[in-house]
Amino acid sequence: MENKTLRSRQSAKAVAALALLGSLAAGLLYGGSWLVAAAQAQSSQSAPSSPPSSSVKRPIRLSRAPMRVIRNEGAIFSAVGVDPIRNEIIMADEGENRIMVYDRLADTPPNARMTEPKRILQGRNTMIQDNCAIYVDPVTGEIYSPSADTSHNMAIFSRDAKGNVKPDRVLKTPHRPFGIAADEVAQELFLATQWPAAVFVYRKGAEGREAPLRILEGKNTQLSGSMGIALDTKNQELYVANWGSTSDVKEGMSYSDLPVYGEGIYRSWENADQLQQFFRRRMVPGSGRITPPAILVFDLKAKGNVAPKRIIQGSNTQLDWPQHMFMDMDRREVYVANSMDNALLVFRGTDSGNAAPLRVIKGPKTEINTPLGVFFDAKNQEVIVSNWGNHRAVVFKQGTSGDIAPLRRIRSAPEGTGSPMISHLGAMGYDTKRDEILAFQ
Amino acid sequence: MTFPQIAAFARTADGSPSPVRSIAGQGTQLTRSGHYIEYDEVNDEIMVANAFAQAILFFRGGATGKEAPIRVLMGPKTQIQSPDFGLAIDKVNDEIYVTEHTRILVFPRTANGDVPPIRILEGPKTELENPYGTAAVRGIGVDPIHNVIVVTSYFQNRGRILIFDRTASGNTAPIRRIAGPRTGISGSSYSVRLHPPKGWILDPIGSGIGVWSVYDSGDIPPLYLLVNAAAGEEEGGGGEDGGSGLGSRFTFNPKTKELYNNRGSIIETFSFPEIF
Repeated sequence: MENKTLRSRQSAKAVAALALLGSLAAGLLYGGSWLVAAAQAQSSQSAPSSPPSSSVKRPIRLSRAPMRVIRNEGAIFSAVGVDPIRNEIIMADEGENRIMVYDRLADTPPNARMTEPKRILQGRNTMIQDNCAIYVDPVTGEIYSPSADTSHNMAIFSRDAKGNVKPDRVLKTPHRPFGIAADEVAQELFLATQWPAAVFVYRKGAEGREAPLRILEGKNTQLSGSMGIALDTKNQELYVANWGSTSDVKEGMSYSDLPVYGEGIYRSWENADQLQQFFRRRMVPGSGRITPPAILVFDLKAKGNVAPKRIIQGSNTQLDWPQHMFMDMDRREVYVANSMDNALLVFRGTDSGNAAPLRVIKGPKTEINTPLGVFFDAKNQEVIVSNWGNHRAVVFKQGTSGDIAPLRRIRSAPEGTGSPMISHLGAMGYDTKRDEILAFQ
Repeated sequence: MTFPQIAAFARTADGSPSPVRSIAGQGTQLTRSGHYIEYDEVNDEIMVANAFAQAILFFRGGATGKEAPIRVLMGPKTQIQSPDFGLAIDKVNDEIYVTEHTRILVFPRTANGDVPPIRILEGPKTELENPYGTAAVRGIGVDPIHNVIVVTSYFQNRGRILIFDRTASGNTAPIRRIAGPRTGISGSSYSVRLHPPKGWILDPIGSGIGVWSVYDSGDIPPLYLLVNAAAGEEEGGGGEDGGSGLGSRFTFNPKTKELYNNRGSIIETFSFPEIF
């Protein structure tokens, strides 16, 4: 018995020593009071560690104002639309959850601080949130504003709405839409979702929980992190920009298989966050993949799990996080805001495979900086690009190519203002080696 | 968050500066909807997730521009389904943790490609499941000094903090729970952070950031409540991620005793020397 006891004591000491060593190592790595940490860890081997003193009245409230604040000065424009009848440019500023309306011909003088918008839509009542896209009805001037993430509401406003006003109507959309476009002939509204990737088509006047008319989704579509959309109603084709990250949906759990809203056990999922969690569980674990960026071309009325007619993909395309797109139907050319290349790419609508763009607008003179939005104004034969990176939109004549200065620019901050480009961050980190705050969005 | 990026700002930045560097572009394999980032100071690496591709990405600590990740954990053997809400790096024991709805996957820190997890924590005893709703596990942190992992979760659609032994595996119960009305925890935040030298758990709650000890248990208020004095009353609380006034996304720097908080589209720096 004594030998066993002796061995037990020796074993216990060995275990304790190893634990102490582990905690010492951990403590050393964390710096600071490593000796205290090690002592606490050792004491836990024999008894529960001491909690903080129970005599302390909880909580001790520490209320502080921030010492420093980093924020965007000026807009970060995620999208642009044009009302050609009323001669207005309408842009989405995702950083401030607002829509800003300018005179179409506004051109900020070099020495001016900025151009003031004619109208601003902003505030809790507007339901504008994470506004990634804009669609402007060319006849009525109505403004459509979908939410990219935290909300499932697309707010629709009359053309002269301003301030903190409620939308005229709201359409419940699937989670995480991005691109929006309309078939003015059929009066249908197209919405691309990134993940699970799909294209939803609604009646243009849809509101509330109205179901889509059709859904384009499935592995055969090769939709993958779908972003911008462009429509060619003349040739009855749909263009969708892919970023390439996707995973597969479980059998029987596609958008078409499930009621997105309203019925049965899904009725209680009003909360956007819970709906998001449900959608994440629809995916097949370990099915994720990352493919090169692409533009997929479908029949305009495509639905279900159908393959694209053409795919524009390859190194010659120069595609690098392609964002919004817009079609010049008369010339059958598709404009692509190529965000990571600081360029506007123009492809032929008939392009396929590893096709180089027909034209590229790029270079320091263009003032294109992280372009997200693009609109081709067929009436005035101009193309407008809204930038995420330098607080402005720039306007070019149709047919422009190369490093050419814009015809006009609308600036929302003084020239030379820095641009944090932060919008609804997902996470914060701190780099101890470089003494840097890491912001991930 | 239309435009994904890992943007780095000088710690003392103020106003509207451009990032000192930004990791973004097709080659980075980043995508939208990232909800977690961690800097590994031991190995000088950055860890994030690409949720759409069910991948964990590791970047060189000094990465910039369109730089590709140095490792990508992705593939059928990983069993990863929705990785970006809860991630943690154990720099001492060289492991990473991934929360997945109702379970936790553990991989070697240097895992690359299509590799299986080395441990999975799941089962009814773990209390990670939430049969009353769709969301269950969210945030996670690892404390190698006290040898625990801390998880934020839902149960009966109320938020909780669960504390497990660091090496817990299979159908294993938590060793402690912090839950109840006195805690102030309503949601389940993915922003939970740990400060192992002090044994702190920092978890956003309705009115700010609650600071508990890893030894706390039961229906107990936080020891400290950090509040943003500049935020309006209506911003102070509610929501799945805690108060939008302070804590929806945050991290801290114990060396300078600062806390960095994201509120909407701004980044605020606070001084809280008392807790460090």
